[in-house]
Amino acid sequence: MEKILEIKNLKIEYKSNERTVEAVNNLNLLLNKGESLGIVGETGAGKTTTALGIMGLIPDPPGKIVNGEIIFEGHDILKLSKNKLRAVRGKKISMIFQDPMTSLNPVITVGDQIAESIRIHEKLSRADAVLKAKEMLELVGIPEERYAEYPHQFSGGMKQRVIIAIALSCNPELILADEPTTALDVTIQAQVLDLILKLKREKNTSMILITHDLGVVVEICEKVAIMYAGEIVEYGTTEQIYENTSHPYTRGLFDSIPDIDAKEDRLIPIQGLMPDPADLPKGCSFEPRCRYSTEKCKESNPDTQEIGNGHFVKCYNYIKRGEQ
Amino acid sequence: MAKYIGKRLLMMIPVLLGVIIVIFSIMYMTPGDPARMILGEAASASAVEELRESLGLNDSYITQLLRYITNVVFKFDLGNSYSSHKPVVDEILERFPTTILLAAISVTISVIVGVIMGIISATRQYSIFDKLATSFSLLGVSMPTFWAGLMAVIVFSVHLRWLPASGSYGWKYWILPSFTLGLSSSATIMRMTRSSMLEVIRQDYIRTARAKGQSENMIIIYHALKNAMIPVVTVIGMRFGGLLGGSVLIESVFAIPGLGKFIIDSINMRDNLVVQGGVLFLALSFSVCNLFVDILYGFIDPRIKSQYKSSSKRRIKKDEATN
Repeated sequence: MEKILEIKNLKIEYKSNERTVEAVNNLNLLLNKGESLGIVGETGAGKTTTALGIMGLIPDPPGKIVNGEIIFEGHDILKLSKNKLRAVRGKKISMIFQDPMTSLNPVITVGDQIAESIRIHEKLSRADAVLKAKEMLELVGIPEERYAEYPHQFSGGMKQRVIIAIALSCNPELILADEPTTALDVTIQAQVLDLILKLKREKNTSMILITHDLGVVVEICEKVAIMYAGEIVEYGTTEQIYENTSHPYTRGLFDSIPDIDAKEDRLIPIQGLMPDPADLPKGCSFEPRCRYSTEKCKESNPDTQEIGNGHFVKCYNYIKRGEQ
Repeated sequence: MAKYIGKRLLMMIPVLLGVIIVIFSIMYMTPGDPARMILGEAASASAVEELRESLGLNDSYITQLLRYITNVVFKFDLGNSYSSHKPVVDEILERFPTTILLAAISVTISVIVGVIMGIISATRQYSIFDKLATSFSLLGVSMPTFWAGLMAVIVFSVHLRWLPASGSYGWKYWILPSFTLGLSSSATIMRMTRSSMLEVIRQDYIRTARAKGQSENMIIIYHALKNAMIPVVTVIGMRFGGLLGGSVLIESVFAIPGLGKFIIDSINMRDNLVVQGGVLFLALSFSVCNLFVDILYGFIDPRIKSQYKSSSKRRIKKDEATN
């Protein structure tokens, strides 16, 4: 399988008034062409920061990529010049943003906002770009007559479709979908996910789907990375993660999903809160909340180890198969 | 939209009536006798009394006020100037182009300087340029315009002898007054543009534009500027409206025969009808200016435009419901 994206030892920090927040810590990630990877984790785990890092859109200041490599199609994105990076953005890698309400420019028509990215990357006349933008609108299920309308005339779900149309307009190699359905209500969520999946299959695009919804991941992704406090704590194929859950944090995430068959009065939440990212514990960052923690976990941060074919876990006392 | 404009024009009527009543009352209560001012100190008491009678100054306050309002509203007649005996309307219209020209040139200068400096300051926040621009704007708002005007005269007319100090006989005469006015208003516009831009460039849709691979310059021009313009346009409109009547000081310093100077001179001469007419005229142009700015909002921001439309639509629906 051909690699499309490889992230090595990525470290991203945000600096504010002498506090340094380590948003992403020694992150390693591999994505093959045509694959979908789900990044799952709670709020503040560094999922969005990772995606923005891949786009080269970390706001600097306060953010800074301190260390690491992001290799996309054989080139390190972090070493690209500004102009070369701009040629990648929107053309090779594009991003679907989390909040459709604020991600569209309120004073520009939706059609022009789609045509804009086409005009930037493809040598098309204005009229041809408009035609292509209209095609994109139809593709995401919005009648092309609405080209000249403004974002405030659209519902949230339609705005998200417009954002998807923008992201897909130049046939990118890689889509970063940052919680594309979080701001939408449940019925629209399914529609938007189906749409993304359909377009992805048609064009064999690779995708990173950021979410905190494990159910969505099962539907869409072949691989899953579980993120906690800026690190990937477990990584593997969707089957490996679901059938052979190994990291205590992943276990906790599954336990906090209600089971439709079992009669449960209460869910089993993960105790405690995520550690302050400006003051991470010396050992394993999940140790304070971990049921399986030992002295060793307090003292040193475990390395990532491969426990199955392509199944990685960052834990000393990971849960072995059949132990649950 | 037309309905909205019509509604706004109707709403001007009570405002202007209020202005008439207030300015008439102020002039009525101000001590000093117009008849005495016209005839001079040497005139006899009986001559003054005769003139007062013929000008209608001996009538009661209410009679005079109603007479004035009737004349203005039904005959568009602001009366004749006591000193020149020409119709006040003609006197005002004769001077108004000068005032408008001065206001237009100086607002243009202030918009160009203020908006450009504001954008650069915002995009290079905390840079040397930003700090210099900030100090410049502090200087601009702190300096009284008449003082800045005098300083400009001392430097450019007296010492350097580049430009004429006063009068209005050609384009050279406009440079000092319009730049003095323009640069001092550019300070406010610059501050407004800077803070508005700083807010806009942190919005999510700017990040979306970057994610498309758009260049930084286009992001500022195409995506940010229009969004940042609403508060700036407000300031520019207020400034222009203010300059229509408020360049009194600069008109005095540079001896420019504009409307502001005319009104001030008329106050000194107790030429009541000119003062009333002049103030009414300024109030009218200020209101029109504000209306223009509000319409402009609609062109900048489609959300505001749809509000203008929907407010009249709502009214139609309500009418239908009551029928």
